[in-house]
Amino acid sequence: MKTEITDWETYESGVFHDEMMREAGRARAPCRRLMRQFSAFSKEELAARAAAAELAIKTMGISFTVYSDGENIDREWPFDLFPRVIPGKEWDRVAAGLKQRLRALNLFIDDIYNRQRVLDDGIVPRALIEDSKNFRPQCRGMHPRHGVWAHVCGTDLIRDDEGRFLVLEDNLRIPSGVSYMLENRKVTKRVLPEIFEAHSIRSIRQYTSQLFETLASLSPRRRKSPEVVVLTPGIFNSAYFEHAYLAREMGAELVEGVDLEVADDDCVYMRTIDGLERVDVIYRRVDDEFLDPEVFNSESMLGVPGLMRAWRAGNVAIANAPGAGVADDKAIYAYVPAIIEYYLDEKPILDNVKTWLCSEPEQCEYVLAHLDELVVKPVNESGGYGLMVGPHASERERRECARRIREFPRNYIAQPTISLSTSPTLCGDAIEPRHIDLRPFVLQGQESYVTSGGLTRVALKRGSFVVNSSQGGGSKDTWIVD
Amino acid sequence: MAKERLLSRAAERIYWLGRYVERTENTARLLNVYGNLLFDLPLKTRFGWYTLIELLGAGEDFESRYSRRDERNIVKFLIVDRFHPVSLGATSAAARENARTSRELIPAAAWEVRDDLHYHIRDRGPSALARKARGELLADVVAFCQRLNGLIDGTMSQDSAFHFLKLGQALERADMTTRIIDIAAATELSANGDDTARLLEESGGYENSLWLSVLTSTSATQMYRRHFSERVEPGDVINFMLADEAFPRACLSCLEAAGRALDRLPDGKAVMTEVNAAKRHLANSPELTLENGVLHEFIDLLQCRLAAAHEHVSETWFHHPA
Repeated sequence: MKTEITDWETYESGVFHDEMMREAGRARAPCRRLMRQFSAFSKEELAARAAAAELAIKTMGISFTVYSDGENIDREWPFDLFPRVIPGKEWDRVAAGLKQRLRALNLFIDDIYNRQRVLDDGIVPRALIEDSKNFRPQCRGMHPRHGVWAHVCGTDLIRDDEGRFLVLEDNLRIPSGVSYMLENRKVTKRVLPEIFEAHSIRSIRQYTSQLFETLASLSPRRRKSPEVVVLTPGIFNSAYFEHAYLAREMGAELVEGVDLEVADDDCVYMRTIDGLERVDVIYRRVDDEFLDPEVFNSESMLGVPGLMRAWRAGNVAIANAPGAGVADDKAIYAYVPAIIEYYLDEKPILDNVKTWLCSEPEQCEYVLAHLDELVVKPVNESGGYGLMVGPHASERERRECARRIREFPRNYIAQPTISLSTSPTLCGDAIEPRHIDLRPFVLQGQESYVTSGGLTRVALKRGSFVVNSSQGGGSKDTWIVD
Repeated sequence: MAKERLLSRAAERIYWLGRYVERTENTARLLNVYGNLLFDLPLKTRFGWYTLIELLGAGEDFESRYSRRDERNIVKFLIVDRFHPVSLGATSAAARENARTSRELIPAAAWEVRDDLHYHIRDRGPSALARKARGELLADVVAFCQRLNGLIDGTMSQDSAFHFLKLGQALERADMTTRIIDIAAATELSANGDDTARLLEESGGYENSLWLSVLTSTSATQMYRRHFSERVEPGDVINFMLADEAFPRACLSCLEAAGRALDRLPDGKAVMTEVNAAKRHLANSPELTLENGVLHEFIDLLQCRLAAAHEHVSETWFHHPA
């Protein structure tokens, strides 16, 4: 099929799984209508829609913050017009897999900070926990409500060449991106109303009320409307837009550390012009290390002195709980399938990407012998920092990497160079394949919820796998279609 | 209606937003008027642009950076320099930072104007060091600030956040008016009895242009003439700018505005006491003239009251952690 905007016969995604095209010129069944509708656009029409999307993002104030030259710059959120479609039936399975995974991870965290059965039974090596930068001895013996530590999880999924969804990363600390998922949807509705209307797309707008329900279910005080606040590091944080957005949508107060204090009764209060008001639940978007200068980093200006005391006394709930990050260590990641079987006695619904642990001598030897074909990742970093991509690295970089692995094997894992699926993406005035991933958001409190779809990130440069918005990545609306 | 809640920090930021926007506008007005005033003066008069630096209390910051007190340095200092808290660039950036964190509280349109103002000064400031472009930039800055105030008055709920913004604006404006009077008086007095005075005498009408500038810098000329006096006499201008109840940039009128905001805020008693004291100070003022030498002292006391009011605002509501 050849149209003004693209020749679908020559649309070529190579060995990668394409979200829309089954083979050259033939779309997958759930995407056929979308392909027809887009193909009906003239070049001018497509450009007009893209311009409308850009304008919508500007007027809606959707931005992310880059800090440079001592000044905050709010950049407009990069958005690609072409939606990504996932069939409802396939998604139901993924959603079940995500809930299963988070349930098991929460049982694991609760166990780690209490009886440590999983270590005694030899499922996960004890040394892995004791060496983990994200293990917090200060949390031992705590029992957060519902046994849940990680209440908000952003799981990164990719599709391999066969189109199977695999888990790339569990983000259990302070995952971000959900506000952009919600705003992307609003932009699509504005800019492609007739296309949107012609599909049966699952709604995502429940997220903020589900988030509020989840947080409210943690309140230590039984009240009809508990006091929930969003704790932000402040305007310099790149995700400040999201913190403000979620607070506004939930009707919660957006606070910084200086707004809160822990009084002699070990309760948390916020400072208002009418005096002190007690806080029940803190949805924190501040890292563990900065939460409480009395317990963690004493230099921290972002936290609240005494917060851990109040939490341990059961007078305030913190989401995600301090210490929850122990389970999103990349070395633990390799054990998640075993963790699921151990606690739930179920087979994992979603698979991991094949992972070699350098902490295991045999696997470490394999990694050192295959550095040129593997991606080596430090276990405690997020946001793509410290990666060594074997096939693209220089001989020197690989030698340096090998040296570090030999020095601190515990700090590294390796994976095959991942393959991200592709999706049609507007590039200039044509449509070409670009690589994407997916971050769904999973909530667990008294109930558990999974977003219908999630945030699809797209690497806008041809052939690139880098989807981070700070490094030239964009995003797409994600449709779960029935 | 749900109870309105305002975090102390949010109250503080929006109060400072009010102050910084006002300061930006006043600084732009001063620069503009001062430039015009200097045109009217004989070239050899010994005071000049540096008076502006004194007026804004920025002498130390200026000296630390510049050795020559010429127009170019002073205008650069007051428009683009960001290392001290006085320039347009600095006050508008400060207002913007305060607005960023008050985004949920002020109307979106006002927020955008705030942003436009910041970028306008940042982008156009450097070229405004030349006189030709300066007047236009300064007029733009005043217009942006007026538009911002208009949007706030026209589209913002009159809640606590609004009253904090108005309180900040009123105290800042009152303070600036006292500074303008003070410096004008000092300028004139310092000119007495030396060569400058003679030069001024010769140029004729200097006194008039000085006090006319005071009025112009606060857009007060027309209202002064309509409600107060046809003639521009120093004593009359001083009394009008300090003690008029009806003109919104007159000091007493600013204090009334602060009082109205305080009436709507919880626990405003301590601040109100200071504001009332300042009002009484104005009401009981003797006929203020340049001759009897009490003016500077009078203004000094008034400024102390304003500073004390600010201290009480901070203590009452902003709850800085110990």
